[in-house]
Amino acid sequence: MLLKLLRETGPCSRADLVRASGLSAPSVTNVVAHLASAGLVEPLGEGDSTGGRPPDIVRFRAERGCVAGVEIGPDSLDFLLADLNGRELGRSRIALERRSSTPPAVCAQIGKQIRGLLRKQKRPEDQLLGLVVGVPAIVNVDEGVVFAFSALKDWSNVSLGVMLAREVKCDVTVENDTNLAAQGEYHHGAAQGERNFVYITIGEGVGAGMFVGGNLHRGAQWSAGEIGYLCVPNISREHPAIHKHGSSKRHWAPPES
Amino acid sequence: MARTSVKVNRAADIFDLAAAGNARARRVLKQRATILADVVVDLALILNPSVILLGGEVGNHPALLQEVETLLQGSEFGVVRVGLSALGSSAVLWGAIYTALDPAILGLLQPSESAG
Repeated sequence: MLLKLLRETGPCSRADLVRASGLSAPSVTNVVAHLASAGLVEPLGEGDSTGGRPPDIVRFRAERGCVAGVEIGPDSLDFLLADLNGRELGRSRIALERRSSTPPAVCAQIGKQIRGLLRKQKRPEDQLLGLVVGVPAIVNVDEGVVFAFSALKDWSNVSLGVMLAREVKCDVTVENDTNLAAQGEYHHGAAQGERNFVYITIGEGVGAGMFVGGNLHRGAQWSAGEIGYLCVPNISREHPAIHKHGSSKRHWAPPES
Repeated sequence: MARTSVKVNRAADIFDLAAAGNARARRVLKQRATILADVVVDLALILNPSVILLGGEVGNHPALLQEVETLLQGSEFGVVRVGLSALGSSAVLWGAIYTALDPAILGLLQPSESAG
């Protein structure tokens, strides 16, 4: 909680933390010491003295580490590197050749690109504390397994989490891209403070990311929100099959000119 | 009746044309908005969300939003606010960053046994 305060309000004194948190002064001192030993906060020297003892200001060390996000699209890989405050440090994009983009090839490209981004920031590889990858497919998030991604070559039941863990030294999470987009809007976009909302994406694919009661709803078999398979009025529903686009998705395709 | 041909590169260009008053593009927009409005009502009836955001290269378009909003008027329940994505094409990447942040910071506070 103190960390959240420090991250959101910026540097503050121990007395500020006591006031804002409702914790006792000794508790705050203990927690700050614990955070300092993890390298997450540091004293900023003495603040403006308004008479009496100068307050000791502490700040969150957002530079203590960084995290990376990757979006695997059918035609490109997009990368974003951010510090622990979620401040952007670097971005990059590389084009993907659909027919040669097998899982091992894509993993190798991701590893190489992330190491490059870290080097550009003059950060050693162990500064990377987390990698989260979005894929346009149904994903078993617990196991890091991508069920099927029909646009690229050989993407069926891929243990992407395990494969990527060989490329980086941090925890790896694999998630459906639309679910991540919903997370983005929830934390940083148009759905801040909304505990029940839906993010619909219409682009190369059609899908929905759903927040129910403040949590992402993924379903029993990870396929919640696959609204591209919903029935379109006046057209009877087909059996959903992973390698076949659903009808509501097909009806979104641009008209033949 | 002569049809003027218009070059369209992206699906969203059609919505730009519709917003500019092109009749053929307006028909396409209306038909797509009708499908989307049905999906929005289905989701609203099942989940009762406070807002449904439209995102993606095609979905994140003000003309589409406006048309869907018009179609939703007149419902007494299954009513939901519809809006556009704020993060646009960066939504997935920012979602990835925010998903990574909390576990990364918690990991520093609970060092594994191997950490020195």
